[in-house]
Amino acid sequence: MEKARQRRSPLAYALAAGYVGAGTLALYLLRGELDRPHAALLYLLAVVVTATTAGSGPAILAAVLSFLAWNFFLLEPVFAFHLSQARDWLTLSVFLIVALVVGELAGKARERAAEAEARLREISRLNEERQRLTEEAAKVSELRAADEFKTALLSAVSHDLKTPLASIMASISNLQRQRALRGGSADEQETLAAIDQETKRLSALVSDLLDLSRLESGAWKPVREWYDLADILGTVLGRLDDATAARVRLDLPDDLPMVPVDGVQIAQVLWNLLDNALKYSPAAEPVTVTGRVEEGRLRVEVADRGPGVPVEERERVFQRFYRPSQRGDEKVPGTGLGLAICRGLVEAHGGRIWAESREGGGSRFVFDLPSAWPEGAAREGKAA
Amino acid sequence: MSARVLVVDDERQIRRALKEALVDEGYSVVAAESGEEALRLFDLVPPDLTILDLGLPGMTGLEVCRAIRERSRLPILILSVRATERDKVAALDSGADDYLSKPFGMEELLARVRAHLRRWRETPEPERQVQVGDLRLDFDARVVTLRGEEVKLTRTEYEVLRYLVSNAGRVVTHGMILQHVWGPAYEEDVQSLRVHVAHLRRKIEPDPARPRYLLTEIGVGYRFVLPG
Repeated sequence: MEKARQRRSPLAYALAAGYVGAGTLALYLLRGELDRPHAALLYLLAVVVTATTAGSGPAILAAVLSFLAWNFFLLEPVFAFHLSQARDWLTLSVFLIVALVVGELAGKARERAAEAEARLREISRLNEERQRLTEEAAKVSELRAADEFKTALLSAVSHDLKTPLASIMASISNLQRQRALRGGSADEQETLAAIDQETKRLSALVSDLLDLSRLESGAWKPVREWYDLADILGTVLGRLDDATAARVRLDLPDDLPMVPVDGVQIAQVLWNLLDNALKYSPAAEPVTVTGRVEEGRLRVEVADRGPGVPVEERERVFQRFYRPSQRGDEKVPGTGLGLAICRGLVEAHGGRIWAESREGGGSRFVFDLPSAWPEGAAREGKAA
Repeated sequence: MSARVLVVDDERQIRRALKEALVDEGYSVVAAESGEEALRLFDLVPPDLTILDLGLPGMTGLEVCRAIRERSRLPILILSVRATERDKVAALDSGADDYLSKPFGMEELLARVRAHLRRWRETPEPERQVQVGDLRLDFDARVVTLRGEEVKLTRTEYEVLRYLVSNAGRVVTHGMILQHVWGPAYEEDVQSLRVHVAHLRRKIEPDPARPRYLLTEIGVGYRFVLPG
C-alpha cells in the first residue's frame, strides 16, 4: 500500500511526462523512418511502461500527453492540434483504456506482491517467535527438572538424616525407661538426659534446616485453602501442654472470616512465634494472640512481656542463625532459624512480618496477609 | 493374652528399638523388613495392630496397607519420615488409622498403640451409645446431650459428629467425611465442612477455641478423641 501511494507522488507524474518526452525524442530522431501507426505504438509503449511502474494516475497523464504529442507532432498538419475526426477520438480512447487497464492490473499485481512480502515477513516473525518460545519452553523444563531434582534431593537428604535420628531417639527413650525401672547411678541419668536433650536439639535443627531449604529452593509453595484462623490456633495450642497453653490468651472476633492460606504453613508460623513468646516471657505473664481482618488483610499479633527486641535488632531477628544478644547467664535454647522460616512462609503468602515494641514492656510480632484469594493462585480444594 | 504387634520397617535399628519398647510394655512383637514378608506374617500369626513404614523396598507401604485392609479392620499405625499432608492423606485413604512421623517420641507412639488397641478391643462393633466427658451420644434415639441437656444439632452436624464418633481415635480425612455425609459429589467442599465443624464445636466443646474432643489435623482431616 505504501508503495502504491508513493507512485502517485508528483515524481510519478513527472516520470510519466518524461516517458512521453523520451518517446517523442525517439520519434524525432527516427523521423521519416516511422509511419503514424508505428509512432502510436511507441507512445502506447510509454503509456504501458508508466502504468506498470507508476500506476493508473500517471498512466492517464501519459495517455493524454501521448495523444497530444502524437496529434501535435505527427498528424497533418503537424505542429497543430485537431480533434475533429473520429480516429483522433479513437486514439485518445485507446490510450486512455490501455492506461486504465494496465494501471489497474499493475496496481493489483503490486498489491499482491506487497501482500506476499508482508506474509513472508509475518512468517519469518512467527518463526522467530516460535524459536523464542521453544527456547523458553526448554528453559522452563530445565528449571522444572532442576526443581524436581532439588525436591528429590531434599527428600533423600531428609530421609537419610531423619532415619538415624529416629533410631537414636527411640533407643535413648528405651534406655531411659529401662533405667527408670531398674535404677542406675546419678551420673548415668545425667549422661542420658544430656544425650536426649542434644539429640532433640539436633533433630529440631535438621527439621528447621530442611524446612528452610525447601522454602528457599521453592519446593515448599503454599497450597491455599479457606481456613478458619481460630481452628489453626486451636490446633497449635493443642500441641502445648495444658499449663503452657493456659498462658496463651486469644483475642479473635467470633465473626472472623475464613482466609485463603496454607494451614500447615500458617500453623508453623504461629507455632514458632508462640514458642518464642512463651520462651522469652516470664512464666507469670500471659502471651496474647490477636487476629483481625481489616481492609482486605488478615493481621495477627503475638504479644509477649519478654525483654523486647532493641530497635537495631528488629530486622536482624528474621535473619538465619540470628541469636539474641546474651542477657544474663541464661541462654534460651533454639535453632536461630524459627523467625527466618516465619518470614519465608509469610512472604510466600504475599504477606509481611515484623517486630514492634509493646507498650508496657515486651515485644509484639506481627504478620499480615491478603484475606482475599490472590489472583492467579491455584484453587485447590484438597490438600494435595 | 498379650496383644501382638506387627512391626514393618526396613531399618534394622528402628525394628530393634520398637521391638524392645513394645516388649517392655508387655506386647508380643513380630517384625518384618519388607511388605511381602509382612503379609506372610500377617496371615501366619495374625497381629492385633500393625506399625507400618511407608518407604519399603519392593511392595510399598501403601500397597501393604491396602492388602491388610482387604484382610482385616485391625488398627494400622503409619510410622514414616514422609510426613507431608499429601503422604498422610494417601495413607489414611489406603486404610491406615493413624500417622506418626519420624523421628518420633516413643512415649507418644506407645500411647497411640494403647489407644488403638483399647478402641479395637472394646468396640469391635460400632456402639449404640457413647459417653465422652459430659457429652452423651445416643445413636438409636439420634439424641446428643451435654450435662443432661439436649444439644440441638442440625441434621448435617449430627451426621458429621456421628461419623467422627464412630471412628473415634482414628484420623479421618476431609474426603472421607464429605463422601460419607454429603455423598461422592461433594468430596471437594472442605470449606463448608469447616463451617459445620466450627458450629459443632460451639455446641459440644467446653471451650471451642481449645477443642478437647473434636481435633483438627491440619491439611488432613479430623480426629475425635475419647478421653482416657
